[in-house]
Amino acid sequence: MRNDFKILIVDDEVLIAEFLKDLLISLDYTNLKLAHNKKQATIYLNEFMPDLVLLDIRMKEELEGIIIAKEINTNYKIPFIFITAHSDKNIVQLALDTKPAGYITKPFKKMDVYAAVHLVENNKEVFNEKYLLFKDGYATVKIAVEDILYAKSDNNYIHIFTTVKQYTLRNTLEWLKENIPQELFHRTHRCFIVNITKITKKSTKSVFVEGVEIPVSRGNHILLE
Amino acid sequence: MIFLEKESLLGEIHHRVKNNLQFISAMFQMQINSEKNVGNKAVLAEAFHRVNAITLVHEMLYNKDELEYVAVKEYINELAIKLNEIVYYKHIAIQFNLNIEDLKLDINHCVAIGMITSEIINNAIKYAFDGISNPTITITLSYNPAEEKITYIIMDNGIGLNKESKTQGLGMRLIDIFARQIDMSYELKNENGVMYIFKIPFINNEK
Repeated sequence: MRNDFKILIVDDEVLIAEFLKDLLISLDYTNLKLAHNKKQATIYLNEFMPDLVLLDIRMKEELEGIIIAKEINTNYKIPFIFITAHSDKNIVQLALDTKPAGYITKPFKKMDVYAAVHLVENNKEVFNEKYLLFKDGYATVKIAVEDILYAKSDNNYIHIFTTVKQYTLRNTLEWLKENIPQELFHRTHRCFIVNITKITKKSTKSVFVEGVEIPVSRGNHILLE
Repeated sequence: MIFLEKESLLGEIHHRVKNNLQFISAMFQMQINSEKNVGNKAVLAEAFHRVNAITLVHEMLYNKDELEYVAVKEYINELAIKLNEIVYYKHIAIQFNLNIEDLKLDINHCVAIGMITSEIINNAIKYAFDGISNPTITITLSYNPAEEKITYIIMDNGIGLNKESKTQGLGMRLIDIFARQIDMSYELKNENGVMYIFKIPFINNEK
């Protein structure tokens, strides 16, 4: 079972979307949602937070799929695969310009779908190491882990401080630690996780990141190179 | 001139689509006829009636020299006749009461309505009429321009659905799929037979 890998299918032909769903289930991808227009797709991108989107290019509005692809690139940074009956070179070019993770032509073969989806799934871990995804209200936020300076816990919340912005989310430092590369971050204190590469100064009881002093509790010292 | 060429090209493509769909239908029928096993025959017939609902749309497009619209009244009439011919699970004569408004529908709407009708009628013929002396299927379609909605009702005077009835089967799934395809809502009533009521958003561009 690949329940933790979430796939959103976007195709305005409901029958084809359902057929693709059956095919993915037979390949053990069971965590699926279907959207048949741009509006539904946007809702699921926000609420379902898929790991992969399978996208038809031509929907009720011409090239709607390419518009959705551009939106994914701007707002969500989720990999997507085009599934399309198009063989027109201009449209293929437009599609390729959006940097899809794959391009499958209809009528699709089961093993083509499997190979393409599996490749993305394998890349997911690499991708996740570089970025942190979380929900901020109704929006999904994606930040590069290298931009994270430090994080601080505060009862049921954590504050994540990046080079540009501060985020507050309802979660734990344990969750954060699991979702960022261990070699880059260090837990200096029950309430603090610090990006080691951003430390500019160090004392016995604290470290400094961009001028902010962060406490280091006993036994949690960092060896700076 | 260019316009005319495009028209005739489109006609040619429709003609080929129609022919190919008829090949598919013919192959189904040949296989049904050569199959000895009754269960296999039934499964093939079910697949065939689904293909048939779509084939019929293309036949009607071509026949009337209309490349975009189908007269829904004729379509449903033809569909009912064909379904009665195809289905031979039980040899019962079913009375069809059709009250269909004269409306022209685009291909998408017609295929969706056709598929749904085909599933429901097929289900009724298979399950509804055990011990019913005057099996009747009533189909009404009316358009309300103010609401921009088609109301489409299919009902039978059969034994009704029991709880174990095939509400989980592929037939029900296809009804749901084609309902979503054209944004239609539907409800299922189970009194004095089975009644499906569909509301279909539709803007009438004809006339």
